[in-house]
Amino acid sequence: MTETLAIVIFVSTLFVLLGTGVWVGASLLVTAVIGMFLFTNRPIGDSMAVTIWGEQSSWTLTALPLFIWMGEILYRTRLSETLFRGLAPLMRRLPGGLLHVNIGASAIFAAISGSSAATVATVGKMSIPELRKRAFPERKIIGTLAGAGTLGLLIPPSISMIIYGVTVNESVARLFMAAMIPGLCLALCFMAYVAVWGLLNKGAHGRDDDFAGVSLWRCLADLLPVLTLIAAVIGSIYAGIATATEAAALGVLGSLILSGAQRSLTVDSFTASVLGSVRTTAMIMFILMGSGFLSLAMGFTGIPRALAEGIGAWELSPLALIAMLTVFYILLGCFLDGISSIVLTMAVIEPLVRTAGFDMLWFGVYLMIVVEMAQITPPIGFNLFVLQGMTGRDIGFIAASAVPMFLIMCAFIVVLVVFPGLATWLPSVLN
Amino acid sequence: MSTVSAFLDRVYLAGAWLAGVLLLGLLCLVLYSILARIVGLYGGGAADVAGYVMATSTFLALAYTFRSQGHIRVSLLIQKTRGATRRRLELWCLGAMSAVAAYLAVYMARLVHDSWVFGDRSQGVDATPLWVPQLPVAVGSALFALAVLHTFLDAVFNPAADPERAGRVRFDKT
Repeated sequence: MTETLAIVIFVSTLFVLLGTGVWVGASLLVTAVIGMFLFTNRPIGDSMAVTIWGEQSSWTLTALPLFIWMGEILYRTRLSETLFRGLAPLMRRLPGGLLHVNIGASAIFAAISGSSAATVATVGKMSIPELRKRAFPERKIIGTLAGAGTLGLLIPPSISMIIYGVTVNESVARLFMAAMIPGLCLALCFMAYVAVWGLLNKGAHGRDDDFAGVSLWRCLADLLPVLTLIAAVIGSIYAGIATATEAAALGVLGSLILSGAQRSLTVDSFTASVLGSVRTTAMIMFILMGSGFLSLAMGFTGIPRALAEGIGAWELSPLALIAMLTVFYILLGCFLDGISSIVLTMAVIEPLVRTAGFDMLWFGVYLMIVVEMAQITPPIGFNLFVLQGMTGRDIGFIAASAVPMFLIMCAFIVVLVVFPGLATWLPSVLN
Repeated sequence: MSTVSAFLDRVYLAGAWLAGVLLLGLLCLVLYSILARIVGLYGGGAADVAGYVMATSTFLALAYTFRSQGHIRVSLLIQKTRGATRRRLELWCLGAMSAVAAYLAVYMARLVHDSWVFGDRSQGVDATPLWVPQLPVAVGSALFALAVLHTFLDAVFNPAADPERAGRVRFDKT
């Protein structure tokens, strides 16, 4: 059977299943079964069971439920309050004022949480009402939050990054190293945008003098617990004394201590965090089961190799290839959530990217940014949904507010292509 | 019928609680392995056991996650349709999901059976007979299949019920 026919079968099956609303994990499993049936004589069900068992019981993946749990605990603490209180006095003097708190708090929360939805929700809980009270333009409040919230995917720890690492067999710890500098740079780009906007629109926002008397020490005292937690989790990975899973376990322990110290740890909040994390974990794992088996089936069809050779023959420049992939992922992100689009495509894209000679760590960082962009483009974008729930505005308004952030990310991808060292330098130094 | 349904929902919730306990177990296990390395205790096999615990936890929570609308789907089309078309679409989705879940449950059970017959052992230092950790995973898959089939039958035999609610049982205390 030719590869072209195989591609047509795969794509149409997937399209029909996903499009009609069949659950993502099930759609992937069905497509994989059909692929196995057409292209090999191996026992289909047994191969599926062995593949799923092997992946689902792997040590690398154990970081995932633990980081999810850590986020669930922190989401239920008074962290959004302390972050706002700690950052507002420090940032109010910058042009653009307290809008910077949206970005700063997102970056900090992203460094202890692996999800962008959790980042938006936690930061926005406090900053949306506070910024509204000070008469900041709604468009800017929502836009900066939507954009900066996506840092949750990029700045380690990141759930999507773990999934990428498991899918392409790269060390999660090294991926976490690669993503740090790009994450911080992107945060700085967002802040630069806010500063420029602030300089051009002096007096466009309200006063924030109520933070004037707060001492630096007071701010540090508010931020210290969070910074300690970041140091424990990311620091232990960077220093090479803990694997990603061990760092995650330390993170859970630290979050429990932190929420206990804030007196927000109750029996109810604890059980809610546990139940919430098993639910999120099961959701992600079901998709991973489908994608793991689909990768195996794909291998038998020869599609990935054919595609890699086919596109390789076009002899595209790296920038052209990346531009093509970016458009592809943004389109895909219009219909699929981030995790699904990562796992769904990697079976095919991985050989292509490897053949083109990209560093897989670098590509992971790139992929996180594109998936971030997809999170803030309609009609499907997790961050848009979260913000819709929090602000009561419609998706269109929120997406329009996030357009400047979207363009900044586009520009940042070009920077990342031109300076790949942003991603590859830190892992090479820390190794 | 509704009492059976309510009872089953309790079973799924119990599965989720058990998954939660296992998550706590996973945390303790990883913390122990860190401690063991620092003070030089024996921590061999912890990585393998952690993997088994995670797999069991995941599978036991699949049913509850399904019943509480936790699994992800593309709902663009379904949200746009109404009435009979909507119902047919929901039945198709639930039917497909039932087939997949049942298929998964059967072959996870077969995996346990094969591991037991061939006496497969873990490759790691723990050398656990593989059917032991695989058995609860198979149980979780069966529970998942039951939950999906339950929702499917509910949708078939209660056409009066709002199709919006297909598989959308809310759990009061979560």
